[in-house]
Amino acid sequence: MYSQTNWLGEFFKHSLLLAGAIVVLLPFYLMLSYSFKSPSEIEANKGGFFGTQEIMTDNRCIKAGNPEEECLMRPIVYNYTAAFKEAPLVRYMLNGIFVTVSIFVIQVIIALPCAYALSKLRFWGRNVVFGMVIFCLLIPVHAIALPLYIMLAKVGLTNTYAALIIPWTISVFGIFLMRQFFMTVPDDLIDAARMDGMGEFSIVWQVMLPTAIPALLAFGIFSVVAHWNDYYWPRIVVTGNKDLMTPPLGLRMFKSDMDGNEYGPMMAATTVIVLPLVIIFLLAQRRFIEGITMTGMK
Amino acid sequence: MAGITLNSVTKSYGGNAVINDLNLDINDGEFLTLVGPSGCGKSTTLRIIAGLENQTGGDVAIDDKNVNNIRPSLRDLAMVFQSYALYPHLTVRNNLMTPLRLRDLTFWERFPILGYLVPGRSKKITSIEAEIQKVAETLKIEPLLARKPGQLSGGQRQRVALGRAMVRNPAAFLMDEPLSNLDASLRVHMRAELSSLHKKLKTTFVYVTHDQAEALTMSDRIAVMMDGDLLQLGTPEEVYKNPNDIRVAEFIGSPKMNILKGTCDEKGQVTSAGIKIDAQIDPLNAGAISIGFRPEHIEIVQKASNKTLSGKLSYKENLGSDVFLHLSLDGSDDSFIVRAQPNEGNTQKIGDILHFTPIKGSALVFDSKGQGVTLLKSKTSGKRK
Repeated sequence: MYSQTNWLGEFFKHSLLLAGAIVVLLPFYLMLSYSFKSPSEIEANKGGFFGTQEIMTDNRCIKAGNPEEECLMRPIVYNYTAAFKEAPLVRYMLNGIFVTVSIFVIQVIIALPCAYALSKLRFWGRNVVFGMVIFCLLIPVHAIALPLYIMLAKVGLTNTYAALIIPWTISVFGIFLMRQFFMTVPDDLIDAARMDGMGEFSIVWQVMLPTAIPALLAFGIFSVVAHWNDYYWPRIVVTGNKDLMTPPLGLRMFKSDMDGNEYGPMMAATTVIVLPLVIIFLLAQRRFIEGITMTGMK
Repeated sequence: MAGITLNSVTKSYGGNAVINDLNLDINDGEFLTLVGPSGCGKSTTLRIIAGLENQTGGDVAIDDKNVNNIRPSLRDLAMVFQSYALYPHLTVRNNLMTPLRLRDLTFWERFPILGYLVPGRSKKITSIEAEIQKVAETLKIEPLLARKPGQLSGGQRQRVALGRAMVRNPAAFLMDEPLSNLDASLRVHMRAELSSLHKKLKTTFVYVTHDQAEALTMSDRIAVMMDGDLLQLGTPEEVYKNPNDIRVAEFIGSPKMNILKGTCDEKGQVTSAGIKIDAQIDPLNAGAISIGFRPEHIEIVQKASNKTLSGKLSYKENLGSDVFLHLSLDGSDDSFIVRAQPNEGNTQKIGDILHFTPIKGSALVFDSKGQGVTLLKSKTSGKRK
């Protein structure tokens, strides 16, 4: 039997969690809701979550000189077609995929050998190097953005994919996370591999990598989410070339192209951009949480 | 098959000596056990032989060939680890295959996908498969070949680890406490199995353990190590009967040997606790000495006399076939352990005062530094070796 105070305590805990959940979810709710509604409904704040979905006329379509019958459609269809029509959303998404995947792959290629050396090899100055890794974790990206930009500009790499990818390829967080994980891999396993005749590089890729899959997945989610959503850095290095824009940068197109109220298509585009991340997170949720608890991070 | 020679090997970690000047000759085809308490340097010795650790000084030779600067994989040794160290992401078959793939296939033949295009590869793979099949049959692990290590029990993993060592047909096997993660009955079973495997393979086994029972049951020779020193090297019988150091005497044998403080007079007569022990030693050792008695070398007698000691029965350990009586002696905190037959031991009650006397000629005498001293029968004497 639960006592009265216990019940109260539970109630308090859950209301707190609920409040937190509402704060986090409300923007998503609005985003989704706006992406369904017609401009007038958004303005008047009517129509509930899904809107009434009454047939509406597309003003731009008429301005473009089309007959009125062709410009009638439901708001949801209008919003989502406009999202894809007004900006090359597919192109942005492909850019986003290319950039985030490249970053992650190169991060892994660099972080795994580093983490292996820092956790399993004994060499002079190892602790100093590891101390520097931890120190680098403390440096905010924004602090070094300007020097990084200048360096890339001097090399002539601004407005290229390289500018979007190269600065992120060495992830101290990745090195740190993988090092912590490798510390838990028994030394015997590595010795066994050495006795079997593997070299150090084979050990990293054939023994350590397969055992580190859970940690890699967790790191992958951190990395992909961070760089898919990154607005700051692409905004700095992609100045003219619209073909290089990543999804968050592409969202700006709606703002600047706007004549009048275009929240509907903008929210539709946002939904499309956020969706892949939500799906990945839901699929890898358990691994993700394992990865965080495993290292005691965050 | 190969003999292994360690020539004044030393090892220290940042000034801390772990192995002091170790000389050891391991014969071809021998089952040699390195035994000692944890931290005595036995595992380090094994790792030095394997090449996983570099010695600070001295030489390691395999088949009279110096291997100081040769990589572990090229020393043609196989190692079995306490934690088994199987590759968790590979099936048993692939675990067994790994050492052979690395030894027999070239870099390009091992290359993913492209490797299939290299001529002659499939022939090599077939012979590797045959090798694995043979080992799996010997160890009776064929039904497990498709499983991953996580799906195996401790004993099965142990076999797979052995198999991975066997497939290479190495010059010698190095085993680092391979049985200590198994449960008691399986451990006893695996002891017998390892012994018969050794007889079948006729290869050198170097076996590291802290369990003196494993050392006594399986080995051709035992090397007892303590604090980085090799104290005694000999057959199990020798080490048990004639320990040359009081530390060896206390370590080998279960229950532990009983040690009494005693003195030796100018004539070489040994006395302890006021009674004359039936042992004569060289009068050169006159002074304080220690006398050791194994639990099975003590007799319970009915009547006290000038040849008996007595103690209060504080604890009985009934093993079924034997009963070990723990007696507390006056003026000593350690209990004195006596082995008794069940019919004799079970009649005694806790708290009884028992009289006992050592069996003639069974005492082991150690000088003040703990070195073994030979009992004098004729006029010859000296250190036991």
